[in-house]
Amino acid sequence: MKWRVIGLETHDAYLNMAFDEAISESLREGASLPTIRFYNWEPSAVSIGYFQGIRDEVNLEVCRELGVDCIRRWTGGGAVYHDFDGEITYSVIAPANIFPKNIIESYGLICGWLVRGLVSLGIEAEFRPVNDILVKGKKISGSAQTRRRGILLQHGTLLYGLDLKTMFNVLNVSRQKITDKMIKSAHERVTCIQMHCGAGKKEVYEALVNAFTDGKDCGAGIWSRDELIRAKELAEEKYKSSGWTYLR
Amino acid sequence: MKQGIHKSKGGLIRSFVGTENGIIDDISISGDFFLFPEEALSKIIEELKGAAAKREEIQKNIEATYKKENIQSPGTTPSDFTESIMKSLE
Repeated sequence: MKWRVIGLETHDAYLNMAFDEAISESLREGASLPTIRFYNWEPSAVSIGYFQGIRDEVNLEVCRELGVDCIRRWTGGGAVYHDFDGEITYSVIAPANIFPKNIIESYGLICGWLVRGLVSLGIEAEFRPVNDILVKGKKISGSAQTRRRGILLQHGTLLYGLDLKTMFNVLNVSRQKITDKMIKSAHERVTCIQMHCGAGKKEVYEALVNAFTDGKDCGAGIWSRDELIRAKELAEEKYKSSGWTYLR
Repeated sequence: MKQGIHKSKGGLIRSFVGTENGIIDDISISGDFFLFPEEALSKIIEELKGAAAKREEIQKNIEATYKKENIQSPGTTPSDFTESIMKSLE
């Protein structure tokens, strides 16, 4: 099977999530190839899981002050702070029938590509079901998956650096005072690439591309005109709408 | 309404449940769990409206929707949703 790889791009939150949905639609119609994409978020953003209540999870006032976008994802799972400098996000969009039916096994398969990328950088990483990747017992990556009408979409984030203070400020933990103890406790649970190797972000991205494409028939691709039009439409009409954002 | 919070292996489940004469008449469920198909959460909620606010009834009701809608929720079971709802009803 032939895959398309869309190299590292930077978009705002709305377009980033809209691209994933636009590709899913286009792939279902047979107009796009299964796609692997890598991207950054500018401005930095908070994404929440499909089932989460936005006011439960996000400090909307702080987000407005800092210029951090807020978006509800199409996938379940938890709230994530996507720092422009501090992470690389990936998406895999492909027919669901090429993956194990068992959801945890399919997470394991795709997360395994990420683990291989980290190992190639000299970082001993492991998949922890349901959807996390750990290094020395600390979380370095989380992913979320959905399957809709025969198409599997999995996207996830790999932490390159850690800005815990901003993360706590934009997520609702900041209703309590952000204490040194909280920061220390988070450092015991979460880690990032910079704490384990000196690789630059570009090097990390290249390691991910190699690991994700290894053994596959892949070609570097671009967006089709229709995908671009549909993604912009979804960004404006769905992902930026208050009906979607404040769904819960 | 009191918020019921229960943590399953697959994530946190928050629920608010309102009752009248022992019957569920208002309910919301949110959290960081995974559930496929995602739209089936609204079916779970819909089916629970009008059900007796009793553990066994709630659990059976959710199990039936799981079966009908072919729901998969890694790390989260109908018992976990029931637990969160019962905590809201306490």
